[in-house]
Amino acid sequence: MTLQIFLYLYYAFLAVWAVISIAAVYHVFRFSLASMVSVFVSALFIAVSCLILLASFRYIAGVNWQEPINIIVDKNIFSN
Amino acid sequence: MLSLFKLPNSIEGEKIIQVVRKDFFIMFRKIVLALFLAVLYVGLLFFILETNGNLLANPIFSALIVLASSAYSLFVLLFFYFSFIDYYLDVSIVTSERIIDITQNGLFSRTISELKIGEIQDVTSSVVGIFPTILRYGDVEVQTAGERMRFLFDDVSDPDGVRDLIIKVAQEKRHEHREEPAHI
Repeated sequence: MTLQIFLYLYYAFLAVWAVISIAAVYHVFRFSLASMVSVFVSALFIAVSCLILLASFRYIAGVNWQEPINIIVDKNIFSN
Repeated sequence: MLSLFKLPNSIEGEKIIQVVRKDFFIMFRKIVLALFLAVLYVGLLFFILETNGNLLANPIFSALIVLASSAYSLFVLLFFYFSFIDYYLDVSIVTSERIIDITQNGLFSRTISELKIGEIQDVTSSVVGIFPTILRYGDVEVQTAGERMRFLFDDVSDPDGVRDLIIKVAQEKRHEHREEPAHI
């Protein structure tokens, strides 16, 4: 088993999150009362989401996801 | 988006009197909760890293921590946005002819009700609790003669002011009807 399984789980979470987020943003623009508040908060949500995703993907690109996961964990990991 | 200048089923000569929303304290509580969730995670992470110093040096654990942090922060952000939707999409529009009540229940459930100003029989405001009393928010209940007997606007700012406004608009409407010449 490699580390890649966690990456796939993360992508699966991202897919669900993206669908719900798009539905939420669509909902605000379709049904809310036209105002700067809804536009601003939606823009803030999209901007912060993009920042988090950008930072995450930059990190993900530098990781070796083929690294095997050992079931037996080295107990020295948990020492100070 | 719904425009105040283009309301559904608009009546000729209809004027917007006021847009009534829940008090900002309701949204503030959700903001505090979202911040608490964020701080809780940061605190937990900090505690784990402080007590297990070698964790970040291990490539497997550092990758897992980054993925978990990313997923959690996206979750908290979405939670905050959902809270905003739940707060902001609940709105009542008082016009010279009717009251339009739009209620958002979750993401995929929305109820729009209209009540004619002329059908209003009784308006009651209530402020219950410490925070509502200090911050002056509460409920306004409107009794009507229509099919739907009661309209409840909950957690609105200045409920006494909203009550007085609705009563005033209803009285003006009734006065207008009395002054209209009878059509024979």
